[in-house]
Amino acid sequence: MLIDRVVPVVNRSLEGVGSITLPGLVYDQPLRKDIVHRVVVWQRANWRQGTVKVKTRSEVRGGGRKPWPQKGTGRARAGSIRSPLFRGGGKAHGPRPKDWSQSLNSKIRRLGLRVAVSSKLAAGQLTVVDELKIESKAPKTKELTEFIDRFEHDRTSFLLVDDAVGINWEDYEPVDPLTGVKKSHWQWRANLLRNARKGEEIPLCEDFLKLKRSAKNLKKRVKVIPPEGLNVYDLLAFDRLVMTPRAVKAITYRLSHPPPRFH
Amino acid sequence: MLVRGLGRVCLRGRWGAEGAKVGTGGLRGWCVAATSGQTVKLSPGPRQDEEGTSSFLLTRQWGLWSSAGYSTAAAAAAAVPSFPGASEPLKLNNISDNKGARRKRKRVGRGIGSGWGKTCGRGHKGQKARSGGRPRLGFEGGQTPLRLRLPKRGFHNPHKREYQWLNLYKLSSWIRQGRIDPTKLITMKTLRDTGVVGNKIKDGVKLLGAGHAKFNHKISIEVSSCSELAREAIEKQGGQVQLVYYNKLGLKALMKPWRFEVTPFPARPPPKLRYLFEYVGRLPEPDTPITK
Repeated sequence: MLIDRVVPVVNRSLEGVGSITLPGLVYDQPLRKDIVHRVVVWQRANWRQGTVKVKTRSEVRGGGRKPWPQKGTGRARAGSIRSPLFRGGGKAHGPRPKDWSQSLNSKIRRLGLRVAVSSKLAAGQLTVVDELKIESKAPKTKELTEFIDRFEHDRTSFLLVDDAVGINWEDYEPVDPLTGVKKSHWQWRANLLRNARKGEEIPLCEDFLKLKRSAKNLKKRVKVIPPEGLNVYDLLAFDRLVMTPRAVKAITYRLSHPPPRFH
Repeated sequence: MLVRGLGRVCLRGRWGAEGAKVGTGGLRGWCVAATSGQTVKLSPGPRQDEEGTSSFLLTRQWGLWSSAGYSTAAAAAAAVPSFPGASEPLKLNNISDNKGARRKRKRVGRGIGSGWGKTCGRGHKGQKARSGGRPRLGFEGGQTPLRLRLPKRGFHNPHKREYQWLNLYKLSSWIRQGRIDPTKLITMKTLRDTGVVGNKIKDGVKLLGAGHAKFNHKISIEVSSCSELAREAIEKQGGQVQLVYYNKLGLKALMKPWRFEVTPFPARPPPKLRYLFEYVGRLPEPDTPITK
């Protein structure tokens, strides 16, 4: 376990063009399906909006008046026409808005990702492609289907991971202007994404957007995500994981470093 | 017999056949031959056996392309191989938590068959059968409770300071290993950062004298407190110990400066504790000892 694996890099005709090392720390984890299960449960719980709501007897309009006298009518006693027993009445113990989000230790979340990626490699469902690019000017679904049909599996679904950041981050040597300390690529990328979440624009790669649009009509079959968007649920939901070497590096950075602490 | 994996796995039951799966818990792998009840040491690295070379098996095991298959049968090579070495891929429908990791919720009042039917496990009538029914903690039904029956004793010392202790033998071991630089000033931050003391430093570090006889480093060190034996041993080597005072905020600012946008002003010790310290601890972390 935890042994570096050398896998071939293929081109889009699935011919070998080189090789890449996948670090064992990330790609050769023991297949802990319980960890993966916990992460998936956590993910799905956090997706829940928690906005479902029905009205109780106090929230349904009307019903303030006692419908008939307590005694002497021969009918069952009733205090309100909106009681749960009435047609059109409120719901007893109905769903209320609720925060369903769970917390999961970050170490378990990261381990879950490693295990999910490792299971792809162990099952022979991981392919590294030198480039995931649509050659034509406009997004072309046909070009993408031609590529994935080479894998010879009708029912296989594909998760394509490509680097979405427009800057070639390997060339980037970020230096803190105050201290002159060189930051790691990982820190820089994490910062970039943190700022993107705040609303700052990040330079997105045109090729990535084109690829994403090309896959838009293949909803159930192909999903295109950046390495930062790699998650356990998608890894399990899609059969084959196809990555570019750039994405492999980004994922390796993301999963082999300790979680970033910003100070 | 070799099995890929980490650590040891105990093979139980009908684990005998060639290619039997060893996949309990977090371990995965395939054994070539194992008898039942045998404890197997899992060997790291790609599986090797008599039949094939390691690269042959690597190709088969990981579903990768063999070098021959690059150009000729590209599409076929990309196919998911169906061989006994490949592990079942994790999918949304075959993951589960460990057995016993989750306990089923007790649903009360759901009929006799459930076992928690009519009285819901609360018994018949009375205060404890009602909702919210339970006398407050420490209430003994009206008799004078224990906490009132017994006299008060002891006192709370507002000046109490708890130190993480550090013995000289450990310090010298760290210096010997090169984890602490003896030529530089050793502060409590150095001690914490190098891991010679743990993260439960409450009010500071006290230096103790175990290992004083063999201590042979010239160091200058700033700690909160120091035993006489330790001080003697250090000063015998020409080093110096300075007792510095940090309050809790100051200690935090010393240990974790990144938490502070503005470094707090170093606090002086309270008058009643002044006799314990020699200097006010400096902030941020100093790199030279205080000169008299």
